[in-house]
Amino acid sequence: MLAVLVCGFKCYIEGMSLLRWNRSILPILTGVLGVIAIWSFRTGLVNIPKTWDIEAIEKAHLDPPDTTVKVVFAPEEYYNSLPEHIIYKTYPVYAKPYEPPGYLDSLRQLEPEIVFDINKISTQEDWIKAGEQVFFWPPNASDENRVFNGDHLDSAYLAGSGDPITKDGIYPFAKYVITEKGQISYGDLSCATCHTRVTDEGTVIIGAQGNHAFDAGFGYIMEKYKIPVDVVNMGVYQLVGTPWFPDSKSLVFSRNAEELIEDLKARPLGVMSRQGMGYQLPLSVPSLIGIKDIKYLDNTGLMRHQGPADLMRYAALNQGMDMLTSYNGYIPLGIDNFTKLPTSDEWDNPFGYHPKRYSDAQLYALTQYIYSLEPPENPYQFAQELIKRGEQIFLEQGCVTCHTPPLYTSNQLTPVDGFEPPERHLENHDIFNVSVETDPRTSLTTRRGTGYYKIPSLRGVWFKGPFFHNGELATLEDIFDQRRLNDDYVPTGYKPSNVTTKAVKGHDFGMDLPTDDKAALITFLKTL
Amino acid sequence: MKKILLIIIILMEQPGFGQSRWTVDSAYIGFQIVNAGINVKGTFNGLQSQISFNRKKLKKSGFTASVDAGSVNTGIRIRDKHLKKSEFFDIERYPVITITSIEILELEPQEFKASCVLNLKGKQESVSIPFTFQEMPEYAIMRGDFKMNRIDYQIGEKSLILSDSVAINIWLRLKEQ
Repeated sequence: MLAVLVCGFKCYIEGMSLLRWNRSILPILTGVLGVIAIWSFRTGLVNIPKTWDIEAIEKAHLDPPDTTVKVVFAPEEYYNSLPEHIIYKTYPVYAKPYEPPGYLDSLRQLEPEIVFDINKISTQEDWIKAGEQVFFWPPNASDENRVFNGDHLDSAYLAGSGDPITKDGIYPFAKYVITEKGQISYGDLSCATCHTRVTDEGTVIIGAQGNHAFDAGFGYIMEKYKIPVDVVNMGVYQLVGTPWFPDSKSLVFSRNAEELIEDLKARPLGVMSRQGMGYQLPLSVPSLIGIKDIKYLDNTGLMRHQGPADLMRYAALNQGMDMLTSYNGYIPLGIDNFTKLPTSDEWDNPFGYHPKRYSDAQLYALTQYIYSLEPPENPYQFAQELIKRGEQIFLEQGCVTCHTPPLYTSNQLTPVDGFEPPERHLENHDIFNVSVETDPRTSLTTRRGTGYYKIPSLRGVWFKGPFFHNGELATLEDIFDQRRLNDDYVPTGYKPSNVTTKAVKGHDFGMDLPTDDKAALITFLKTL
Repeated sequence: MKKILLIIIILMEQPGFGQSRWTVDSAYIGFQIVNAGINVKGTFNGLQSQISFNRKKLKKSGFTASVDAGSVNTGIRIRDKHLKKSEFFDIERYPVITITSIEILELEPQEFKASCVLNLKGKQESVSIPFTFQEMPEYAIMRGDFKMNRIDYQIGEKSLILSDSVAINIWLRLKEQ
């Protein structure tokens, strides 16, 4: 803005016939411009992008690999008709054995406090702080949502689900919300629910590949409360069904409760079901730390990421709007046999989302917070010689071609087996045109499919895992274990409950390195 | 008689006539390129060649040799798969890489320089190959090294980490026919 003002001012001055005025007016106007600039900076005046801009969404969103499949986003009028979230102050949820005595009673004494107020944002720091509130805001928190009210977080649940808690006994994947004095709501499904990692030491890494036991926890609850599978199946299908793949439906509906529970419990921490993925194709949760530099979002590179506007649109889609998107005529949350968008009264989201949307300002703030996330301090201490040797192997093995420093990704997409990039993709996208032969199903047979996988950044790989698209491999060591290519391999991460062994194929680089070289390479990777 | 004489004269003008003809007994066709500061080596196989060489009759000496572009091998299977694609060697359209000599000059005893045409990915560019030719009692060793610019042949695009220049290394053990 300042540049435009200066340019306009300069042109105006150059056009003046009374140039002699320049000497007297120039310092004054320059001063005025300076004041404007400082004021703009201090008040954080930003051009907040419009989130639900269909043309922009379509431009950033990659098509499904099957070009006969049409993806149609909810119209702008519909999106704009949804009420905006009002974001209140949230409070920690404790695992029951660690909850301070009288904690909930003390919360009941508190007045509701709205913490996102655009009128109070004046600096970039304010935007980031406001974004933090959005990040932790649980969109399914409401007065009606007191099914468990945290009561399920007892010792039996923690042991049965494996859900981690902090060293202070806090359960960081959920929050208590007070929207009315005396009433506490338990809420989750915030960004933090999936992107919070509790370390072995009980500390928390915000924005990392989260390790909430989403699936195993639900499996535990399903078992404990004897929730009938028929009640769950339709919701699961809405979540992961791909209507143009007939197998998708039969896979979901052919399971009995025991099989479903067993499979849910088989998802390790860091791996979870996600809308748009496939049944038995859970997601290895991505880390958001450093995402500002990453050109594509989602493991399948579903959306281009060229700035806050794209991330806002991605967030809106992933916080509910993708469930209102028509995939070849199938709207996962649709009415009339999933063909029409529901009104607010007809809204029936099996996963707790309410008929609300974030404001553009909330989403913009969210992006600023996410962009500000920093990796934690690396606790590993390795010998410099070993790191250097590992780096040399990294270069020699050609890892650097795709995992190019300094981002340790070339920011490209690689086609999956079974998909040949059309010429227009090669021209318009950043494609490294060779498949690394990993399991293509996530990108070929799901609603998030594009025919590609994103080349992931190796930055911060020391605090990530499980690895690969569906989290089949628990550790970096497993990635370089040649045995994983064999059919008799038992995956160390997610293993579908209906198989005893399964090869984890693809990305077979560095497999035949001597043991010492592998160790050096892994050491180097853990320093990134 | 005149016709026979004419045929003899014409034949004598052809490269290889009256020359030593050589078959390849063993070959190494390699390349080296710097990727991210590291020298990456690779090879090609499937050499087909016609070699006529006599150091005393260089004007009538010459060779043509081709390799199978799809045989490219850098030791990393998936990288080789990528090199075969249209961005690099495009082996479906250009399965063969051919080099043909135009002229051979002697630089030093046993050291020569061949002006050649390299036909790679549909592009024909002149290259100069210094080489040695050592004749032993039972075989000869021909060895040549030269550099080429991969961008001239559209072998990949300009890259911050991959050099344009590629070193080609040829080593042949030849037997006289």
